[in-house]
Amino acid sequence: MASTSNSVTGNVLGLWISTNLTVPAWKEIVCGTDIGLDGSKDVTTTRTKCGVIKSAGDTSWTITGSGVANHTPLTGEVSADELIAVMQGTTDVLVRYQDDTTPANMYRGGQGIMTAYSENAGTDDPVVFDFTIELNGALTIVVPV
Amino acid sequence: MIYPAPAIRRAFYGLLDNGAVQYNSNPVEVSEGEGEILPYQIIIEELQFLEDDTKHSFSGRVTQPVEVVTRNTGRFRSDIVDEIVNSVLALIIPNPGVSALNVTGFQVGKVNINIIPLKEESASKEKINRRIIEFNFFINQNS
Repeated sequence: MASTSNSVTGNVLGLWISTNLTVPAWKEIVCGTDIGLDGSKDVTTTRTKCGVIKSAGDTSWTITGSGVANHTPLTGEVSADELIAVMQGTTDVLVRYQDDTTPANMYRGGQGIMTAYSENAGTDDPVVFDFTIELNGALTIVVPV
Repeated sequence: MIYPAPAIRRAFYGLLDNGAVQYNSNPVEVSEGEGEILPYQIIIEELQFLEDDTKHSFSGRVTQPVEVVTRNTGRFRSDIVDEIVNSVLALIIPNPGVSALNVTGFQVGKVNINIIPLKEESASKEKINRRIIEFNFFINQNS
């Protein structure tokens, strides 16, 4: 049985984006809180006289991120303002999240476009943001060399 | 993460101590723990801190109780304790949504209050009135 010490905890994962698709210039989302991944397929169900036939399309992946807005991210970091610029643009970005200490333990990445961005400024709370990037290709789960 | 209690206590002392709060032109003393046997006093009690970090910042939610205690002979006097409570509130939250708390090393979010119902006790011939104000707020440690 696999060792429970080999599990990956969310706190070690960093979420990064790069607007440079050719030579990635990765910047980490600060101050990050949650990271999500969702995969889905469109399924077509056809009822024939021979029985029900289901066919699935390509897998569609989305990576979501959340954080607390930081007005002065450091070099190599991005926060709410930079993410809004990405949202208002129409070009793809690279996105990845990984175990920042040992990326080989967990790596998820791809290229896609930001399709949703929201902020919430509760009276008592820090300003928080959420965004969604829809990948336009396969999800990579192996650290690129 | 720095335990924020000392800095928060200093911030409360800074606003409330040294005669900042007065009753009948007499300074209301500020202390901690059990307090002292005085006609009126403010006690800064032990705070509760619940850490609520992001992956890149230390932050959390604080509940800081401040108790106002008055002693008088005769009947119970909630008016004295509540006048002091109002002086405390005016110093900590001078304007809606804005607190005067300056906690060194931390950003302070909006300060909300929860006022606990009055407790009345009798000791010898004295009436003791206690009102606790809980100050609730979010703090973010400066990097």
